[in-house]
Amino acid sequence: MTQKFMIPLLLASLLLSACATGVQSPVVRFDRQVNYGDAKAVELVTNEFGSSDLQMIAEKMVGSLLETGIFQGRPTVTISTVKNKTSEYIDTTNVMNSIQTALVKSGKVRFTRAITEMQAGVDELQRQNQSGLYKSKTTAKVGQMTAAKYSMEGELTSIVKQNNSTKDVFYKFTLKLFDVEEGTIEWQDEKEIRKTSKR
Amino acid sequence: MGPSMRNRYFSPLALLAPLILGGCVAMQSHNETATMVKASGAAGDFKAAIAQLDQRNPSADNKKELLYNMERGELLRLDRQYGQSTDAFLLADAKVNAWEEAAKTDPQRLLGMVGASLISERLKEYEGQDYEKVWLTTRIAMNRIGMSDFDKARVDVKRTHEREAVIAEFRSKETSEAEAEAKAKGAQTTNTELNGYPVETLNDPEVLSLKNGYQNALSHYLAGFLYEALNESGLAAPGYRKAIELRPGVAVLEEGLSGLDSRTSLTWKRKQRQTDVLFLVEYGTAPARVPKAFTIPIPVRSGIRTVSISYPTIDPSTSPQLASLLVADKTLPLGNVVDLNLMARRVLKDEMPGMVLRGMTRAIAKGVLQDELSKNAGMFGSLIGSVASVVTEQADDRIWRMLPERVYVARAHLPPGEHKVTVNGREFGPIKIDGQYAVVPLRFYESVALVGEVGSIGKLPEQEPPPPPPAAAPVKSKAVSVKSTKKTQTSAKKPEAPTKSK
Repeated sequence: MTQKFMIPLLLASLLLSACATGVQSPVVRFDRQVNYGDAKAVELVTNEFGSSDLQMIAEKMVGSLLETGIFQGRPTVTISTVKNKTSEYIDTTNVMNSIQTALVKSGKVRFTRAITEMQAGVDELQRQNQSGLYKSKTTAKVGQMTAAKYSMEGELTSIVKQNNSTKDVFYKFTLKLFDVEEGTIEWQDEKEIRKTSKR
Repeated sequence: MGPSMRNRYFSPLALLAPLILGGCVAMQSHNETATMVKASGAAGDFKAAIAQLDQRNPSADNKKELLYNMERGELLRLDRQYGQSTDAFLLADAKVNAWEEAAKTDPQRLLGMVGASLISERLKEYEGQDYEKVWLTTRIAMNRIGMSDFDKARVDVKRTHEREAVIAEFRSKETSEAEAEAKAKGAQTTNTELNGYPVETLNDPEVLSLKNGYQNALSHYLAGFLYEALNESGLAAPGYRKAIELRPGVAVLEEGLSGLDSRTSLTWKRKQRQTDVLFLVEYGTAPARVPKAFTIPIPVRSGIRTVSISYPTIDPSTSPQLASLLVADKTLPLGNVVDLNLMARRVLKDEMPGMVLRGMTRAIAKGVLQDELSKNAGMFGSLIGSVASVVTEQADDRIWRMLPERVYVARAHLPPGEHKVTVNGREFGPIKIDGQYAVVPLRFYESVALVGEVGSIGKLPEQEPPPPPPAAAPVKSKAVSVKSTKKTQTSAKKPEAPTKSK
């Protein structure tokens, strides 16, 4: 009696499992072990600036900015400079990109082109207006860009201490929001990170 | 003669014979090869130099070797064949990548590779000096810049930083292991005295003042320049900063950092009418490792036996320093950012304790072997033993010789167009510069003065009425105008350079 039920049950489970594997992407694997990991996992490979530091800074800054209520009426903001004052090759643009992404997704603020993005904008305007390739009605007009009300400026500094057995690195990221017209600081916050490794 | 008797003297002979015969190729002196190659290319005929290098490395296996491809890549670069040069460097780079992989995942394997050196240092696989590994990616980046491919050059510059981190981590592990081993054996960590070795060449204050034996200021300054040209000032700053840390007191390097904010500001870029030109002036060729033989007494069963032992030496450079570069009526001071003679001596100094220890172990083994052969095979055995000992006992003289001995940098804003450049009274033909940024490689190689491919990036803005020049220039403080300053400047020459900040 049990056997009678067992066979259809097995078949059904096989069919179901086949369906389940059918929707998964195929995996090509060679002899080397490669795996996807959690992008948010804490990274402790070395005590140099890493992905977890970037994420911690971005989270702290975004949280703090949105708490202030400064962004009422969806003001325009531009990213001015992010100075890297450490001796490490840290792409500070990446930190600002993470902050900008979260703020744009919040829908509470509009970003204008940053200084580093300006040339591409100017090139595109020139292409539309000066190449003679486009219908004049459809071209973006020169001189119609919206200026930013606020400008965001940041800097990353570090203090490194090392002896025979220990390396201690202290990072400090400071972000300021300036009112461009008035020149006043409307918001400011900082994130400190200490990383110590032993040999 | 019984079997045991035969084994007693045939086994050492069997061990030595292939070493003498087969070892000949592996034991070939790189110093000799480099001298022949240099002689062939002395008048600028680099095709002949490459042919000479190929002749000395005839087999397919030779042509896969790290040192062969580094030397070949450099010769091709001197011949302005940047594409082929990069291909050769990439073959060498694959070997260094394998080393990096092992250093990261299995450092014990690399630390255990010293086994081969118990017969001869030259039998060890050449893994490259640490500074050569760093130079390799820098050279690839420079080739890409010469071909105006700044984006790919950026990848190689980034790989250089990562490579430095791997080397630092590996050397740190190596030092820890050595310290632990010395402690376990109750040994002192001080250097062993070797009578007759020119220790003063390694204890030179200039050698000791280097931060380490693998980082060079040029790689980092070039990284700063490249990131700046690619509008990434957040990454340019640490490049300039690291270059200053590695070579403090060089004005050109300091001005790279202090003028960064002004040079990268949108206001300046809209006003810029002149090209920001980086001159890389390379002088000479990298130093040779010259083997020096010593005879040391080794106690064996039959008494005391003298055994030959060989260590490499590097002579300090006696060539004069370059002082300035003359271009477009300006005299620019040349900042010496890399001295490979110092770096090579620093590496040798760091290697010496281990090398001396291995040399002593080898000498004892060879002394015992010679003694055994002498006892069991008489005069013939003794002769074979002595020959084998001398043949195998040659210091490792492998080192990337076609690299320049010293590198200087100078930087200035110059009007686009053709310029004549003069360094220490020697003229480099007309050099055409253009764009927002340009890199001009120059090289003094033996008797010839060579101009490499000029790499440029960005376009100067289209004409607008130029505003008056800002107060100071990043290199202006050191740039002395040769002609009268009252000379009327044309609009193309204004503004000269941005204001310094920070």
